[in-house]
Amino acid sequence: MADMSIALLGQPNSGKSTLYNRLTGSHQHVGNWPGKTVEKNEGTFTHGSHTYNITDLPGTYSLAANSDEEIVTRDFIASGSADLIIIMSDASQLERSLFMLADYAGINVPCMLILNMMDVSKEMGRQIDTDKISKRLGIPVLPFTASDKNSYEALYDILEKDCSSWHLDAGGLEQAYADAFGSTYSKAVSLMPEGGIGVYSPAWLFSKLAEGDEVAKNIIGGCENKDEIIKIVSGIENGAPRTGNCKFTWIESIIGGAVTEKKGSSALSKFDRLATSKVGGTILAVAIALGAFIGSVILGYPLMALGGALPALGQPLAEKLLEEGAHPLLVSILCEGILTAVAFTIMMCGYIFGATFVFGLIEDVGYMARISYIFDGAMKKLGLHGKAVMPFLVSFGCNIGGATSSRVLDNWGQRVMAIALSWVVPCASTWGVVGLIATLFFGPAGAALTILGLLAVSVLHLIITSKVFGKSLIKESDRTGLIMELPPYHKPKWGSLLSLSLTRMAEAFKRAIAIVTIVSVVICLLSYSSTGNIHDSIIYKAGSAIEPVTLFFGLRWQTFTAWIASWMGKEGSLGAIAALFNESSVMTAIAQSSSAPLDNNIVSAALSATLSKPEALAFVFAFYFNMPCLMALSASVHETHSLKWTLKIAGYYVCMSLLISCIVYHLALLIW
Amino acid sequence: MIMKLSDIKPGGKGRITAVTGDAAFQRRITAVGMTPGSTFEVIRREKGFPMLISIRNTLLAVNSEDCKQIETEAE
Repeated sequence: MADMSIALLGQPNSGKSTLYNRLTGSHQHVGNWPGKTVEKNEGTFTHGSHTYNITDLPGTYSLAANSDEEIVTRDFIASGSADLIIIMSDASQLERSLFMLADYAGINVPCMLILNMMDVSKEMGRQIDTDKISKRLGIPVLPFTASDKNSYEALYDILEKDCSSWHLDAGGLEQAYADAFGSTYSKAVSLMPEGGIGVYSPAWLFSKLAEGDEVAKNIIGGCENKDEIIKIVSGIENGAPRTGNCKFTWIESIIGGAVTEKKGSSALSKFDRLATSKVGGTILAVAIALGAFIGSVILGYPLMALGGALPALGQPLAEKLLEEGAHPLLVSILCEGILTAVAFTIMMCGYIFGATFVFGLIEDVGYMARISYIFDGAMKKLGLHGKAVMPFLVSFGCNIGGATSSRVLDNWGQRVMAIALSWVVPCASTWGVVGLIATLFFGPAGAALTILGLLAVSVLHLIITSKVFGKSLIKESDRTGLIMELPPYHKPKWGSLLSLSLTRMAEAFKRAIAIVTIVSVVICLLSYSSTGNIHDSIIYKAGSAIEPVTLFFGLRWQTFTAWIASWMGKEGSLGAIAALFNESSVMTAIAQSSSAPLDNNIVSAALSATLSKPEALAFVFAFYFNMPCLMALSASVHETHSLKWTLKIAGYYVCMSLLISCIVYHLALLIW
Repeated sequence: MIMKLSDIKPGGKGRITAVTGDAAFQRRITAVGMTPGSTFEVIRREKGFPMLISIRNTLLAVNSEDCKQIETEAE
């Protein structure tokens, strides 16, 4: 049983999550807020003889009920589950980031204030008298530097004190409301119960009602003067700008005389002048994204190589087991099915680790916001905004990483939408297969043309998909333009980057391994034949039986099977092709396609002899636009918290893929 | 003279006089510090890009269409 429960509240970039990670280490749990698609981060830590529960609340700019994240945050605070709320502010942007404190003022739950990034603030030549601020607020105010051990010691010391009397003094803010709204304010407040409702003071409720907060109306629902109060506040125009003004006036009075600073310059740094320029900035963003992609692969290479080498163990292991008298089917499942599954999963984990680290680094130093700024225009055409660019970039390596990185988006609808659209982006393995087949059938020039065709259809696909899902996924109120801070550049926090990458990798491994194993065992069983001839397997019989149907889409039974095999992992497709045209064991070929290139001569001869050019083209398109692999699907379920939506989108992709291959096939028939 | 924020050239400084638009937009934009009375400087304004505005020691990127809903006066 913990001695105390605390919650971290703060705006994005306030350093909240870094503090959370440093305090809890590996003692974290990621769950879901009841009934909401918002991630809940809870952890524990101990210091001395005390144990603490800590909740990292979603990073939002205010406590308005704009999104599920903010509603969850408010409900959690109101529920009284936390004994103490730690409000985090960025000392280098003190005035603006204290808005959260001002929005909190009037909530009757003990709180304290951490002024983070004191080091950056000092470098800017700013001195902050935290004692003075603390006296004015009536709560502890702790200057903090995330890289400084002493900061944590000071925090532990504060946590050992009795916090029950730490109530934020909001008197000045109430006065500001009274001055700005006059009798409207005094009338509305006098109609509310004197002590407020629950943890909310009358002044807090007034400001929320003035801002047009629909959820606040429910809070006063039980109040006997409810109708009268609503009548009074509904006459208020431009509520949010006016209360916002009051809040900043109050903030100025709190920090006035407590902060001395040199007049800072608002001019962009030399680097930012380039990074935010139209042409140079775009080139830089593309170059850094490309570099990040290459860097991810390099970092992930050791694991990818390990995964790639694993299938080579299959053959000797199988021989050994057969010698020992094991049943051939069992050997096949173990050495081909399960081994392949483990190999694919390890390879994928390599990239996830690399991508999380590299893109996390870009985010950590503050450059990601510049990339979002540059690509905002392109994202807007898809009904999203600049922050959604990250899933697209990461997906060029791997769609699993793409889905995971959708967490940067602030609301659920946009997140699901970004994942749905990022599935169009072909992962590295997809490119490998497409390049190989296209070159084999159409030569280098033909392959280049094919790729151009694929890209053109991709753009079309993106536009159609954004239209198909846009209406139901993103509410009109969530279709908001970009409002984003471009944070000052920071030194990266290597330790927390590393632990984040390892955590994400472990998460991905755990989720993927079971599903890939099951699928790969099923394929293994289907393609097993006691004679060793593919014609005696279930997969051949089923495949050739439905070929008349699949041929309508331009897919022969072999390519249709390869298309299905790509659900397991995109490289799997290549293996299936090799096996089916080579008439050898399917699973062995799938497994080895990840390590060794196809035995080109035999397979390519068989391929070109069996498939016509339109059929090859149809396969390339069907394959390219197929849904991503099951590992990516399971990652998407995890990120969207919705199996229903993931399946809906996956079904849509499968249909689109067949539709596109059908069109391409029949068009190609006219040419060849 | 009242001008829309979206009409101010880079380097232009001023003071916000009003934030229009629906309540949700007003809540979002005030939460990042753009309230009536605050002073700002326009850092960048490129066609097809969000505007870059320096306000309260912060560099903000704001969707250019949304900047039409912010009224300002020269300081």
